[in-house]
Order: sequence, then C-alpha cells, then structure tokens
Amino acid sequence: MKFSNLPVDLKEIPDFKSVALQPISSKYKTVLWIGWLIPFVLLMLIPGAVFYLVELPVLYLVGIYSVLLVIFLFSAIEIHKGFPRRKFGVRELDVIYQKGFFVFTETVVPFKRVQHVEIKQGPLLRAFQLYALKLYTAGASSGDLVINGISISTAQKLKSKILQVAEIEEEDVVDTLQTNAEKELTNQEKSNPSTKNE
Amino acid sequence: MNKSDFSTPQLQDFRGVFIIFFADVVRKMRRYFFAFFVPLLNENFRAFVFNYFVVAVSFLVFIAFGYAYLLYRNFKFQIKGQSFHLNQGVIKRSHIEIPFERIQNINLEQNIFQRILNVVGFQVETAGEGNAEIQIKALRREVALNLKNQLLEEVKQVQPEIDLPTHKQDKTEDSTFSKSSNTETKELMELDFISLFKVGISSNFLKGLSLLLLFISTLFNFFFDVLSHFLQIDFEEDFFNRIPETLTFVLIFIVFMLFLGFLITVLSVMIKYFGLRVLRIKNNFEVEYGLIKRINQVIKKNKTQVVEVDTNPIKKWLNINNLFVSQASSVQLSDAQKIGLVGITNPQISTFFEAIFDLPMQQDYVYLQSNYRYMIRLFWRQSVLFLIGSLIGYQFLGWAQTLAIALFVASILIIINFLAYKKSYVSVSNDLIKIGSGSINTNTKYLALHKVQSIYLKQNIFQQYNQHADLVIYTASGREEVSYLCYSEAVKFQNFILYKLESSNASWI
Repeated sequence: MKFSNLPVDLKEIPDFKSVALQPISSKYKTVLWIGWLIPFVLLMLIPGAVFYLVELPVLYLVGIYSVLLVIFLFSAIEIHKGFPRRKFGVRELDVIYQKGFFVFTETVVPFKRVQHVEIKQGPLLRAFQLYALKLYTAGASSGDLVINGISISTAQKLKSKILQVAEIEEEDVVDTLQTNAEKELTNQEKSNPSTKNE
Repeated sequence: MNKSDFSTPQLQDFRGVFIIFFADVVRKMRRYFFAFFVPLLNENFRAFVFNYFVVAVSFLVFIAFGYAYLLYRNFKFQIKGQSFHLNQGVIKRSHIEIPFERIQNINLEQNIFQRILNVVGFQVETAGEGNAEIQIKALRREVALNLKNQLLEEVKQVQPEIDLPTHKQDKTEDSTFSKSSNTETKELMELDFISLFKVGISSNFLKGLSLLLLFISTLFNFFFDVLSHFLQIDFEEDFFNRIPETLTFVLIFIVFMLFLGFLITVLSVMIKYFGLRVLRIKNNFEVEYGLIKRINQVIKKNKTQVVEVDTNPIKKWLNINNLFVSQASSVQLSDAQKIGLVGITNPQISTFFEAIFDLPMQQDYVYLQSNYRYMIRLFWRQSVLFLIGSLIGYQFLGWAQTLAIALFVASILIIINFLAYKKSYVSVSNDLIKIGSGSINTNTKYLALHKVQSIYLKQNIFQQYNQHADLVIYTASGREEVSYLCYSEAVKFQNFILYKLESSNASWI
C-alpha cells in the first residue's frame, strides 16, 4: 500500500509502535493469580460436593474435572505468558495500552476523546496498594480503556497529563463553537431573521 | 393560540392513563404470552380453575389500571430556571433535571394507541450520556408543539449554534414565513407505495424466515404436547418413521415456509417504513415513517457518527439502496436503532452525504483488503453447526441424502464466504474512513476521521503467528471491525487515523 495520493508523507506520521512501553507493577501478577484462583478453586469444589451427596457415575466427574483442568491450563498460560505483555505508553497526544497472550490487543486512545478519568481501587488491588486508571470515551462502555495495576503516583501523573491535554482541546472546541456561533449570528442578521418552519 | 404555562408543574393529558395502561398490558402480554395457553391445554384446568383464572386476570387488570393512574398523577414536568424538570414514579420516586445546554433533540411521535386517542408522545434527547432521556407519553398536539417551541427558544439562547427544526405554530404564521422557510427546508425524499414495495421485496427475507422458524418451533412443541395428550399417540415415533415417505410433504412445507417468510419480511418492512418522508432543514434531516407507529426522528449533522449504505443485486437492479444512520449514543446501537432511509436513490445519497459530511462523495481512498484467511476463519466458525447438522441428517435421512444436502450447503457456504472475503476492506481518504462488508449484499460504511473515539488492533494466537490483525474502531455510536488485515499495513492505517484525528480540531459531536 502507498499513501502516495494523500498529501501527507508517510514518514511524517508518528508510529505508535516506536514508543517504548512501560510494564505495569509486577505485583499485579499476584493480584491476577489470586483474583482468578479463588473463584476457580470454589468452582472445583462444587462437582466434588455434588458427587459426595448424589450417586453419579465416576465418568461424569472425570469428564467435568478434565474440562476444568483444560480451562485451568489455558488461563494459567494466559496469565503467565500474557503478563509481560501488559504494557502502557504515553505520547504527547494519546495513551497506548497493550495486553493479552491468546488475543493480543493494542489500543490507542487520544487524550482529546477522553470524557473523564477515574482512578479506581477494588478490594484486591487495595491489598496490594495498586490502582486502576479508567478512561471513559463517548459511546458504548466497551470502548473504555482500563489500565490495571499501576501505582498511585503513576495513575495521578497519567490522569493529570490526560486531563491537561483534554481540557486544552475542550477550550479549543468551545472557542471554535463560539466563533462559529458568532458567524452564524451575523449571517442570520444579514439574512432574514425568522423562525425556521417545517 | 393558547399558550400553555409550563413554569408550574404540569400533568400529561388525562388520556395518558390509558396510554400507560395499554403499553403496560402489551408488555405483559408479550412476557406472559404462554400463560394464556394454560387454560386451553388442560381439561381439568378448564373445568375447575378457569373461573379463578378469569377472576385473577381481571383483578390484575384492575390493579394495572390503578397503577397506571397513580403513575399519571405522579408524572409532572415543568420548565424552571435553566432546565427542564421531570418528577415521576409511584414507589420509587425520581427527579430528572436536564439543563438546556444538554438538550440535543426534541422528538414527537405517535404509536397506534396514541393515534387512536389522538395524543402525541414527547421525547427529549440529550448528548448521549446516560439514560436521562425524558419521555412524556401523552400530550395534546397543540400542547406538545407549544412545549417544543418554548423549549427550543430556551435551548437556542444557551446553544446558539444548535440547529433544531421548529414546528409551525399555527396556520397564519406558517403562511407568512413560508417564503423564507422554503430556502431552508427542502424535501429530500418521499417514498411512494411502489418504491416501498420495491424495498419490501428486495429485503433480506432470511431474517423474516428465522423469526418464523423460531415462532413455529415453539408452537410445534405445544401442539405435540396437546395432541399427544388428546389422541394418545406417540407422535414423534410415528412422525419420524414416516419421514422418507413424507419427503414430498416436507418439501412442500419448506417451500411454503420460504414463501411465508418472504411475505412476513415484505409486510413488516412495508409497515415499518410506510410513508417515509425525509425533510432537509439546512444540514439536518427530519425523518418520519411508520404505519402503526409513526416515528419522527431528527438526524443531526453533529450527532451523526456512521452513515451506512446497504445494497444487494436486486436492489441494484431496482435502482434503490438502503441507508442507515447511527447517531451518538451511550450504548452500542443495534441495527433496529439505526435510522433507516430505505429506498433511497443514488443522487439522493450524494445529496445526503454532502450535507452530512460537507464533502463530495467522490474521494480518493487508499484501500486495504482483508486476507484470504478471513474466509478460512468463517469456515471454522460455521464448521461446528455444519457438523451437528450433518450428524442429525445422518441419523434421520441416511448417508446418501445427507451427503447431497451437505454438498449443497457447503457450496453455498463457499460462495458466501468467498464473497464476504472479497467485500471486506477498510480504506481511508483525507477526511473519511470507508469500511466495506457483506456477502450477497454489499455494505459500505462511511465515518469522518475526526469522529473516531479510540482504535485498536486485535490479534489472536494464529494471527500473531501469521502476522495479521483485526482493526477495531470505536465511535460514539459503537464499534466497527475489519477482519484479517496484514499487520504492518494495519499499523500504518492506525497511525494515519490517529495522526489525522490528533491534528484536527474538529469535535466528535
């Protein structure tokens, strides 16, 4: 592919892949393990308990546990192999976040599209003194970006950086809107100032 | 002209009680649809409990009506200070306040009940944050127009840049302003009956068919239960033993089903879009459609995120297209929530396109095609269903017939998947993103570069190995995905979109 018919030189365009990304706190790996193992162990207990109470063929139990074992293996690989890939990076105008082993995603959210920023902490994160940064964009909530497992200082730095740029943009937008409005007003004064009808 | 005073808390029109009541009854009927079959099913039930059933139902109806009345009494709206207020709720009271600067749109609409009772529904839309939309169920038309105009005046004071259509207040005023308004208001399209019919017969009737099959399969279970109860026959055994002989019957049945599915689709499309009318007011559009439920919606230039043109070979032959508009919303839009301008012609599309995007429709695009592996992915996804289907077929029909049917289905899948791969692409121009998809149909989505909210690349484990990625673009109306692009090229596209987005000052709304 060539962008030759566009008046922008491809070399001028900054490449988000060239940014050096930072890993999140290594403590977060423990959080991931605990947050996943507790519900999983509880789930492991259920078939055993049912088997203890009700007469069932042993084959059922073997089947259920082998399925659970497969799930366990895959999740373990995802956590272990995927954790080093959880990285974030900041550029002048956007934030980059990547994660995932089986499904690797690289998200870029421009600061100026961020509606608001939230620093969150669940009970498990609190135990490890970690925080999550959530960036809300407009539209469906599946488009929001969450960076889990960062320290409070990183979170606050990121937040202030994002808000700073977002606010400057906001002011710009308001300015342009105002100038547009003024233009429109003068236009309306020039033309017949009448109510619009159906 | 009587100016109503909205500065004190107002009730809806009294007929609102009935609207609330009927809507509630319809909703309950839908949910407890099956309960109505209970008395039909069982003789014992009919003999002994039927009277109680009637009493219970009438009691519930009475309660529902009482509740509707209470809802009506507690539903109060007013214009106070710089915002529009609404108090509602019987058990859980709520107060909604919408500041004028957040009001984006005001719609009037009439469903079938509202038509019968001669009232209109009133909706206030906000900038797509949360569910703070206000819905007033029943107002007299004059009151609704009055309220709309009063609100619009207020809204215009705080948002001078806003473009909202004002309804005509009464006849005399209309005539005096008709000259000046002619320059601003133009009709983009009005769908006559023949075009509507064309839209109906060219729509994808598989949708209607699947709906029908779902309905029939639920009914089927019922009938088997009821009939086997009365006739003392083990139906399933008898039925399945005779399958080979009744193959002709099955064939006729299938053809009949196809025909019925076709009919249902045509009718539902025609009822939904009956009398579609699109008015252009400067660069915004007002759309009105529907036979049973008359809907009036405004397509705002700022709020529009994605414009989607859908066509298929029959539509091409008839020279029509379907155009769907997605506006900013706090949830992912379903297809039903998009505003449809069906039966639109090519010149009308260009007019619409130019008004919404401020750009000529002809643009220089750089294309990126999906890889052929996309086709293989589609096959993988279908393979499970295909295998299950084959096994079931093998059980009942024997291997020869199953093989024939399986080959037939497989060849259809090959054609469809090949078309899906050929039609899948993403492309960018200086200001727009164009995304292609479809199989038999051809779907083209346009969105302005500066309306992108966030963008990401997704690679599953196989794609990581073969260096491909899916590109996902979020706008304020939901996500758009393009499958299986070459990774290095997809990165370039992502970089270009980000560059354009970040260097532009345009706002997404």
